[in-house]
Amino acid sequence: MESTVQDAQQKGSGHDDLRVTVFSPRVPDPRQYTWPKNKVVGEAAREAANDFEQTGGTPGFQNSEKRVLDNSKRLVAEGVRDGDTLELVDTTGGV
Amino acid sequence: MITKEATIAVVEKELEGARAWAARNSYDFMWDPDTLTLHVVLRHRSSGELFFLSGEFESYPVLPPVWTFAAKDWSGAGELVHCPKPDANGQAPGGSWLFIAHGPRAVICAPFSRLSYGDQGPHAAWGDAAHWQSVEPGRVHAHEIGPMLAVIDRDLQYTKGRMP
Repeated sequence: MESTVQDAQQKGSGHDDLRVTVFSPRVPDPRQYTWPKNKVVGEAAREAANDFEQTGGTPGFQNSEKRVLDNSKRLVAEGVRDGDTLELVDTTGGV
Repeated sequence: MITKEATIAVVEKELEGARAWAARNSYDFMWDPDTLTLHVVLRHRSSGELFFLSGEFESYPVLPPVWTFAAKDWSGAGELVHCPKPDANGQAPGGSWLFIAHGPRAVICAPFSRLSYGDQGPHAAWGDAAHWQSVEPGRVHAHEIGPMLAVIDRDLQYTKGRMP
């Protein structure tokens, strides 16, 4: 599978940045992002969802252990590490 | 409404992402265009237990799919015993569970689930299922097959055991 490399911010990866691979269940290919560690999860998810044209709802992330990250917290606080893979998923509930 | 050929075209376009999602999770994934049926075998990460998710796509996307959990041989679709059970001591990842018991049947309760609608469903007030993409905009949102599977799997991972 060929990855589509697309940096959200071209400021280079530093100690304060996380390089993350994001998948969407809509399409086969992932996207690469470099985000500040302190970026809010929900903001990062919305940014990625927009790029994947996954509109509407309340996008969030699952980590590789299938834990749904808290959209109100920062990436680093939710245990996201450099090189991690995240999966986009809607975070609202059933009815 | 919509021809079978048109439904197949829509489904098979959406399956590109859905199939890749299933492959990332090592889930068995079987689409039958003759019967318009999708079978996906989901796995509870903690217990290793398998759950057999069936999707029926007649009239899709005019109507949402019929999503049910079934037995290993795909019989008994919708029976409670085949459905993941919300953890009574846990929290639904979205705040409220997708999996409910509606009388003797298990229902995946979401706007993208056809069994949520109609006189026999838990949300008769939603009216015609043809409005599924605009019903309850503040609730779980998935308008394509891949995101639907991801949300169903999301809740599955937080369940414990099987109904009832």
